[in-house]
This record gives sequence, C-alpha cells and structure tokens, in this order.
Amino acid sequence: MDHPIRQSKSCYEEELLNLPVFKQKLADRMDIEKIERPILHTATSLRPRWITAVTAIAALCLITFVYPTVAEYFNSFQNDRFDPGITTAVANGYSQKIDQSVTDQGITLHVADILIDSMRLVVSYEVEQNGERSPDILYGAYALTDLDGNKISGSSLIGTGFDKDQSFGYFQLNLPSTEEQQLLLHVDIHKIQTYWNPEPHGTEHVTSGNWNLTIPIDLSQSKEATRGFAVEEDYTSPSGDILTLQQFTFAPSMIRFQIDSKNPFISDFGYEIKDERGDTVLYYDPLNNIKLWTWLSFQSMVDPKNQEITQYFSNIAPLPAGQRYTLEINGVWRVEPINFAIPLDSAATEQKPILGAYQDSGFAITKFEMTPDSSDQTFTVTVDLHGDKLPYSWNLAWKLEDEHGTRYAITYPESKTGLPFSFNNDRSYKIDETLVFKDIPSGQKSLKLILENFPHHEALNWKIPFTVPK
Amino acid sequence: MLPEELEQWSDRYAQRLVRLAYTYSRDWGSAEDRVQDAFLKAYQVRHQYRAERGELFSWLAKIVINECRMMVRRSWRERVMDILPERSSESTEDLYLAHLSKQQIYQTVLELPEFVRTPIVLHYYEDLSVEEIAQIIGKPSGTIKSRLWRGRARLRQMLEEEHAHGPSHQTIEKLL
Repeated sequence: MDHPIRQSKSCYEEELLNLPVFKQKLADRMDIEKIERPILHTATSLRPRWITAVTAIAALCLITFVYPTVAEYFNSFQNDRFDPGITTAVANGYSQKIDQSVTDQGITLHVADILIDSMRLVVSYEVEQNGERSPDILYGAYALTDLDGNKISGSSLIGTGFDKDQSFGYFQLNLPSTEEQQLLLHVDIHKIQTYWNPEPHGTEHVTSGNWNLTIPIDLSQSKEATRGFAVEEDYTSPSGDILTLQQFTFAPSMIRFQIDSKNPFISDFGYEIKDERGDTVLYYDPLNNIKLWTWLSFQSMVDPKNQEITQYFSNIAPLPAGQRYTLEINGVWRVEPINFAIPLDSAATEQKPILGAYQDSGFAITKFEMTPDSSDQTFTVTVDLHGDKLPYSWNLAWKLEDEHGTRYAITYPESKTGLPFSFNNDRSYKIDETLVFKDIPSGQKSLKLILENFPHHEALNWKIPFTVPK
Repeated sequence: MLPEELEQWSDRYAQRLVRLAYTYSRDWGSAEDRVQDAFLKAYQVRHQYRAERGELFSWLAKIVINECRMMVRRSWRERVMDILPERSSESTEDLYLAHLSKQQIYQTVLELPEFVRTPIVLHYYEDLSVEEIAQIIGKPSGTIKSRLWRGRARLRQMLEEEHAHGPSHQTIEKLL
C-alpha cells in the first residue's frame, strides 16, 4: 500500500495547466524579451578544464574568506526579473561597504554593505552560527534618524529576500523624502529564526537575543544623481475620479511616477511603458505578467487646498538615459467599501453550504461553529469559507455582526485568510479561508458574516510621454 | 511559435514543473511565471546540459527551484509567516498519517519549510529517487534522506497540532 503522503499525490495533481495558453505566453515573452538562440562558440566548448577548475577554486575561496556583498552578488546576477534597478545602481557605484558585525547567544549578525538610493536602501546581511552562514530570518525593528538622533518617519519595509546558495539575505526599506544628507539606520533584532537547516543533524529553532547595529547612511551621492520632473497632468476616469500625474523622479536604482487622487481606495494601477517605436519595454498588470521589478506605495496627506488626497507612488526599474518613452496607464484597481451580509445558521450549514453572491463572485460557507470558552461567557466562532470568481488577489475584509449591529474583527493568527488561493482559467481567483472570531458574547440569537470591501477594476486610456534624463 | 526545444520541454515537463513551483508560490499564476522564467533561462544556456549528468527534468527542476527561491516578496502588504515548531517528533508517523485525509496531508505538505518540503514533493509526488533529488538540490544523498525523515516528522507534528488546537499558524512580526 502506498505511503500516506504519496496517497495525497492526487491533491498535488489536481490543478491542471492550460498548456496551449502556457506555450502561447512563453512564445509572447520570447518575442517581447527578444530571447535569441545562443550562439555556441567553438572556443567555449573547447574551454580547457583547468580554467574551469581555477574559476571554481577562486569562487570557493571567495565564499570561505569573504562575506559576500550586495555589490558582488547583484553584479553577478543577470536575471532581469530580479530588480535590475539594484544591479544598475550597484554597477554605477551606489553601494557602500559597511562590514559591521554583532554577536549574541553565539550567533553573529553581519551586515556587509548597503545599496543607497535616494528613495530606498537595500541592506545585505549574513547570520553565522555553528560555523555555518545562512540567510536566517530576522525579527525586530529598525529606525532611521538624523545624526542628532531625531527620528525620520515615513520609511517602510518593502521586501526581503534570501538565497541559500549565496548564504546571505537582504531587506529593502523605502526612504521618505528628507532634507538630510546623512542618516543613521538603527537595526534592532531581538529574534533570529534558523530557516535553512544546518546538516546533517541540526535543528531549526528561534533564538532570542539582542543584535543591535547603527549603520551610517550617506545619501549625498545618490541625492545628487536624483532628478525630479513635474508633470501635473490631470486625467478623469470614466467613473469620474480625477487622477493627477504629479511628477517623475529618476533615481540611481529606480524610476518613480506619482499619481495623486482624492480616492483613498486605489490599490494598484496597470500600465505599460513603450519606446519610441511603440514597442512595449515594460508592462505591469497586478493579475498577470509582471515584466520588471515594480511596487506601489502610498501616503495620505493634505494638499495646498486643504483637501485630503492620497499620493500613489509606482516604482519601476531604471530605463536607458536619454531615451523617450510613453507611460500608458490602462487600468486602476480600487478596493472599495461595501456592506455585503451572509446570515449564519449552524443547523443549515450541517445540511449543505450556505451560499452567497456579490456581483459575479460566489461564496460558500461550509462550516459555522460556535465553541464556548471555559466560562461560558463568550464564544469562539469559526467559519470555513470558499470564494470563487474573485476579480483580484486582495485580502477581503470580513467581520462578524451580531443582532445588535456590533461588529467583530477576525482574530489573527488563528484565522487563515486568502490562503491557499488559485486562479481559474479566466484569471479570476478562488480562495479557501478559515475565519476565527474570538470573545463573541454568549446569548447570540443571530449572526451575520459581513464583507466590508471588494475590488473593482476600471479601464483607463491615459498616455504620458517622458524622457529619461542623461 | 516556440522553438522546438521549448515546445518539447513544455509538452513533457511544464505540468510537473508548474506543480513543483506552486509548492513555493502557493499561487498558480506565479508558479507558471517562474517556470516560464526557468524555461527562458534554460533555453539560453541549454548547451550546458549534459545528459550523462542526469535527466533533463532534473536539470530543469533545479533551475525552477532556483527561480522560486530567488523570488523576492515584492508586496509591501504581505503579512504572515509560519513559526517553525521547536521540537521534532521521533514517533512513527506513517500510521498516524494513514488516518488523515489526503487533502489535509497535501495542504500541510505545502506549509512545510522549504528545505524539507521540496525533497518531500520530489520524492512522493514526482517519484524521484534520493539520488535524483540530491542532484537537483545539490546536496549529498545522506542529507536528502535526513531531510525526508525530518519532513515526515515535521508533517506529523504540524498535523497533530492542527488537530489538537485548531490552526496553528502564528503571525510573526517581521522586520518592520
């Protein structure tokens, strides 16, 4: 009889690939990315083995005696899906050697270097313990201050990454706008989780301790290389939203375009960038093919007319200097408040799922359970929910509402929301969630599950030409 | 139209490789994208593949795994990570697992840490031998055997915790 894990293989094989669509997308990418059949040089194939051996030994020496740096790592990486902005900026000399270490609990946290862009920092690190180095997961906090210790607010973590084969990890921070040229980055780690298990009989575990580093950041070089160009162009969407493209900013590792709107519910834009020939050099669709490294951030503020607006910053990889392009914004996603209710009935759920539908999306509640706590004063409510034909991969905001209209939020970490999810052939997506609501007062006669937000897409046709400065 | 090699790779291996990539991304669309990335990269360096060093599937799987590992989480809105339990079970897990549903086991396999999940997926779902897995992952066979053992033990522990206490995922504060 098959091992139980192997018996679950049918679940692994449940999802079927649409092969013709897959191959067509692959063919399209070959055209767009201009993938060419490699030319096989005779010299390469006859390359003497001793050269290969020397290269291997040199690489081994590098790993053994030197902490790798962001510069070395990203300079060696050619995949343009892995943020070519970092590669570009490193190649142009915007990484700063740090070489700081701190040891606690027998574990050493080492920061090798930092890529300093005027709008972001990329910090590379390694964790060394038991003679091994690995990109262990860091838990803690950071703060940016000026040299006098005054906090610079507005920064946020925008990504983390690690590569076991290279043994180091990195994290990226969004930098707020500041007049300061010199900053201090305070990194305070209180927990390190061993993610990559040392072999052969190591144990993965979490170690608490204190690993504190203060890293000087010199922004002067990257600020000098950063240029902003005001655009201030308005566009009215078909639904009446006024969007204002305020400016383009060209920094060493990225290009940013800022769109202002009074609508605070925008979650993303879809866009393409075309060159002078009309060829697409970048396209971004939140649901689909993400061509190059992109991310969206935003902040709310009050404009000179004392109106609340939200500034949306779309950040993309650099483009060649001196070239002209057109930014074509083709769509906007909004996640807007709604008030969609599904009455909960435990007896009915035992018979068959409770169904609900909002626009084209369907929901099925397969389990609704109320578990009393030890004192019988409160309950824990558990709801298993399946959603289908959802238009966007955005976590839905569910609440529980009692007969008095009081709403209760779901409890983390007990609730599993949005995971796992998968896509239908038409790119709508489906989810299976377990929502847990704790401390619900006893004596409830009726409860409802409330959906408080929902994604909507609106097509746009907004074209803005720009030139990358030299 | 695809070149002949990519056509063949897609016909023979795309389905299996996308399933493998899915165990990393938990998103079918992203999994397809990673496999396409891997195919395009592999196509450009396909002269480096040597049949005497192993099956083509293994070579492609290695590139797909590398693409998945290199995937950096871009979304600034991303939220949770699982905390890894501190103890490892040494009890015989096979009998325990036999009483669970396939879906439970599969979903929990997806939640295993990568270093044990990938050997489990390649061995039990892709029916690869320890030696083939060792070649893909680039570790000795002994290491793969150890990871398979640890993966099964971890799987049992996670399923036991889910059964006893309900969903055990904990939100960990990340580097903020």
